Amino acid sequence: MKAFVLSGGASKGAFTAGVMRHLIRQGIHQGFKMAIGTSTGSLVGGPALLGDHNYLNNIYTSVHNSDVFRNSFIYWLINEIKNIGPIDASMAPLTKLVRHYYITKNGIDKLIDSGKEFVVTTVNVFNGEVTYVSTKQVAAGEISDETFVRAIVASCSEPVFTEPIQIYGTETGSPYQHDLYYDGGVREFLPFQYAMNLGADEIWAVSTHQIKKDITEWGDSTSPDKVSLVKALAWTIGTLTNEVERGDLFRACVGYRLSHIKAEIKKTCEDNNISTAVIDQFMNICDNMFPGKDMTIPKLHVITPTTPMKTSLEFDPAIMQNYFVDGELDAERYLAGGAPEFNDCVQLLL
Amino acid sequence: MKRHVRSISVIIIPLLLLSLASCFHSEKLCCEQYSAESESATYCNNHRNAALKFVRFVTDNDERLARLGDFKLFYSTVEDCPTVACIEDAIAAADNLPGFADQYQTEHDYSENDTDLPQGEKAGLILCGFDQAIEGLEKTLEGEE
Repeated sequence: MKAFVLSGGASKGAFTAGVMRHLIRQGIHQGFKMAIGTSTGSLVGGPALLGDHNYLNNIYTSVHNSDVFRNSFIYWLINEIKNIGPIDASMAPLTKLVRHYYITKNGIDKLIDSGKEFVVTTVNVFNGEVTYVSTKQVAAGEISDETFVRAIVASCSEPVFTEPIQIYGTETGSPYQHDLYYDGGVREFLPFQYAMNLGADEIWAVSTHQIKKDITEWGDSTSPDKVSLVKALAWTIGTLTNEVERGDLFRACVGYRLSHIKAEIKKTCEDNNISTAVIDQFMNICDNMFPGKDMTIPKLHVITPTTPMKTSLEFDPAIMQNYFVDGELDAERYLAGGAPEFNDCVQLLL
Repeated sequence: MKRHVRSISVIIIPLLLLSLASCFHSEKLCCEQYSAESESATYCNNHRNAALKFVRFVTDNDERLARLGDFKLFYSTVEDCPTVACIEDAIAAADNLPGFADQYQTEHDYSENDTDLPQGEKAGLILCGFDQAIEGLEKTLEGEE
């Protein structure tokens, strides 16, 4: 099974949307049965699975902050002064957008009818667990359409800057009804784990971060006396998020490399007429040293931006249209280069 | 009491003015005048992307600025075009926009395939897309590395 894994990145999700548009136009999305998205990836995943590239293009290059967040006046004023994005904002406008696509325009029904699974990641703030919410749960009658919409919004709700979401708020019988959820990117920025758990044998991941460079959200050089608490906080969150993503990618990459090492050892043993019993011993050693020994190790493709993107908490069409087109161009370059598998774990450590 | 009202006014009035200013803070780009779910938006945005791809295909910022300059010159020759044919004749004649004719053709073909708009609206939408690309790039390119 092939799966898309789509990272977070707020307005940088326009890059992911651009990548997906190119893959859709090339017909590549048709073979994919699943998409898993974190944060902005949870907004891209559904339309991507449905091949709805014009929607991605039109939405991701026309939204403003006010289409996503709603701030109180005092917070609006702070934002204007500090120019760092929304603080403790309500996600009501985004909820309206998501509800319109998935409920009014039947996005959830279309996904269910297509036989494809769309999963979004969130984190339960009470127990810290990553919570995966899937269209399959809607299809099975376990959760309502509204709950799935709330899960998408929770997946986009960044701690400090926005309010947490009660995903199961309307599920009166749910033990989680009063639990609060935040952006899944707090723990999984590139949610490979769930795709691997479900047996994905090929993953195409789109990351909004360059692998070799850290994105700090600091922006231009600032005089020390102008550094505010809020700016420092935004920088800290950006840096930690970067590290979460690096960890996600590194774990997936190590698993991938181990599976190849195992195959190489087996082939070398067979070429040298080593007995099956000894080969099995070697394989057991490998399996016992790898904690996910029963897990399918997928082929891994990772598409990342060539041009670094600076802003993530500002939703400005003039900026996001650049991100979108950069995504299309980078996907085109990636395919033109033969769509190489990602296996260079070492570069993640440099 | 009067003094109290005056001091409140000193605080409130600037805040109200700031609030009003925010209404004009974020001007809409050309294609944004169309609903994001409309075919007009699709047609406009696709042609915008052709212009953006022409400029952003190169990764060096100085080269991008040079391409933006070339595209603005080209745009000045087509901005009064009343028909698609007029725009396409100018694209065919432009010899300093490497790769743009191909990007345009790709986006144009998708637009024709994905929409069903009256012929009379198309030239305006194409030019609106080009205009938005220029405006957005002028606003953003200087801040990029």
